[in-house]
Amino acid sequence: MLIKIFKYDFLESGRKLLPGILAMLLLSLAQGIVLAYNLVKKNAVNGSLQIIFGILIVVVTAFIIGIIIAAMIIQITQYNSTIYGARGHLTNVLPVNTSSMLGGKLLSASLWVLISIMVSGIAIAIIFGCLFLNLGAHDQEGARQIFSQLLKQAREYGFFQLFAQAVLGTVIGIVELVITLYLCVSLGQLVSKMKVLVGIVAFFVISFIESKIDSLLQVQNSFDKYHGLVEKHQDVSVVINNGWSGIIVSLAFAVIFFFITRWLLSRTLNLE
Amino acid sequence: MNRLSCTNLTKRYGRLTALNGITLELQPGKIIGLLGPNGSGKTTFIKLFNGLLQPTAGELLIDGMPIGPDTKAEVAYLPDNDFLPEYMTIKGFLDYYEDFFKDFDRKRAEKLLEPLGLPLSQKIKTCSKGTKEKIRLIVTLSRRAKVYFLDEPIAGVDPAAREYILKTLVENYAEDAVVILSTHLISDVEPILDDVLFIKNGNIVLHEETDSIRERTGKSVDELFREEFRC
Amino acid sequence: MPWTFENGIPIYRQLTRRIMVLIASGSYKPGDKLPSVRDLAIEAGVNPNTMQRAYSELEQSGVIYTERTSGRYVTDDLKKLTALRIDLSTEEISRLYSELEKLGLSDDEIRKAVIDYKRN
Repeated sequence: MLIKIFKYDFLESGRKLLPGILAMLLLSLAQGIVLAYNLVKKNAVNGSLQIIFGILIVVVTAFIIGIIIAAMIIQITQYNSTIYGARGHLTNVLPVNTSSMLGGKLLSASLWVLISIMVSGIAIAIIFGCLFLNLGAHDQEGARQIFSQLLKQAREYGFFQLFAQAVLGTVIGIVELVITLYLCVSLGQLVSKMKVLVGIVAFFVISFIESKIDSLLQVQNSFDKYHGLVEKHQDVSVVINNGWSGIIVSLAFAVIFFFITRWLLSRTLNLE
Repeated sequence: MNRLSCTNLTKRYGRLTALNGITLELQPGKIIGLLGPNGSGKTTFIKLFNGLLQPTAGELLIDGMPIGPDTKAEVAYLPDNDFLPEYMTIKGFLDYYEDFFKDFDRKRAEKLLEPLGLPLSQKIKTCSKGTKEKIRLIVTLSRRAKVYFLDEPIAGVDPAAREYILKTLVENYAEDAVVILSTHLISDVEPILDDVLFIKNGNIVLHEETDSIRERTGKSVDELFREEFRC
Repeated sequence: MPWTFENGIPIYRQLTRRIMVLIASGSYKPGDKLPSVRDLAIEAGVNPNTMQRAYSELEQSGVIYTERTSGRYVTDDLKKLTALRIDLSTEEISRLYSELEKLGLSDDEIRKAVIDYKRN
């Protein structure tokens, strides 16, 4: 049943998000072509065209950031409308237990946020790819050499493990973020007026408490931990070891929030 | 085994008591009218048995089981609002419904949808209000459920549509099921009711067979209702 | 169209009478197969349980009988059917008489009125 819930929620979000993703990729391609043209013609572009190029850069950047934000907003509104809205009279009478219902939605939402981040990455890669393709052969060779040097250094210093851990941490972080958002929506639904306000306040309160607990446990659960690498030239393995605690704490929060949200859904549901 | 039962079922919202300690047992094979004015507790009763609300006190069971996924698989609910996913096509919705409800008789639903003349590829959001009502009714009654809850199915609906709704109900409900039909418009539904429950301010004040009421009082249930609930 | 019903009388009893009238008037002839409980209930717009009760009453009165595997049939017994017709018409006549008596007509006046009505 969890898989069924996941499937339908995933498709429902996809319908809303896919057009935006497609638009963003196309715009990025356009941006890439434009930048490459600029490069090749060696800035032989005059005033008014530059303004258009400037606007294009802003729009593309907005899209790239925006698609991630849109993905999150879509997940919040979909959770809210399918459980607490008119659709709730269908969703909540499905023969599915609360854990599967919540789990399926959580998985679908997390996957879409992850996809939106990856697609943003692809968009940026497209732009750089266009630039690269338009470099002269000599410049391309130079770029390739720099790149393979970087890879070699990364391997030596164990950056791949660091990268892998970072990816894992991001994924868990996304799941934790989504379940926090769900929790805030459900908390907002406990009151009859100003539900959105209560939800937003709940989010800030929870985030604050989380950061306090993080510092209490001496866990660096954000990109701060990488500062140590750069500034103090810490050994990569030390950073990785510290990184695990951050991931575990994140996971623990996610699990706790899951149970609280599940309790709210099974005990306090009060559909109009 | 009682198909549906509750003991001291109570629901309070702060100071307001919507249901006041109801104890009831209902057997299969009957169409039962849950009759009362607006605000008497009919919808609260129905939502409790569907797991859309939690009781403040008391116990409720369907087929001896507490409310949960197992009872939801046996209960068909037609609420008084629009729960259809707007973005789905009719076929898409039938797929979805069939995927979750094992007792959904898809062939029956498609047969009932035929006279509406709609292509299955039509999106639900482009259907008219009346069409959507019919779709909701058809999918609900196409389930071979053990309990049907119809919450105000004929309110705000023209006489021809009322006839259609009641006829579709009698023709399609699973015969050994309990059908609980809540309404405040009694004369239309009276001929199809086996039993009636009068609910007033959260209490059941009458639970009797329709024909027994007519025999005993010499009145129709509608007339008795008007007397009982006169302001 | 669903059948309409009067208020103070149990529906199953009104159904019984309605079907008796259909039989007496020849809509269902002797030996005809009757619709199933469900089908007739749907046509009449009533609960199948109520229709079942009406059929049971009809069976008890001997006007219809059940063939175990194939369904319910109108009796072939012409004596029973004649008696049915007499019973139903007697009911109507007594109703007519009591209505006209209320209007103040004597027995003779009633008889005369009936004959005159038919003549015109």
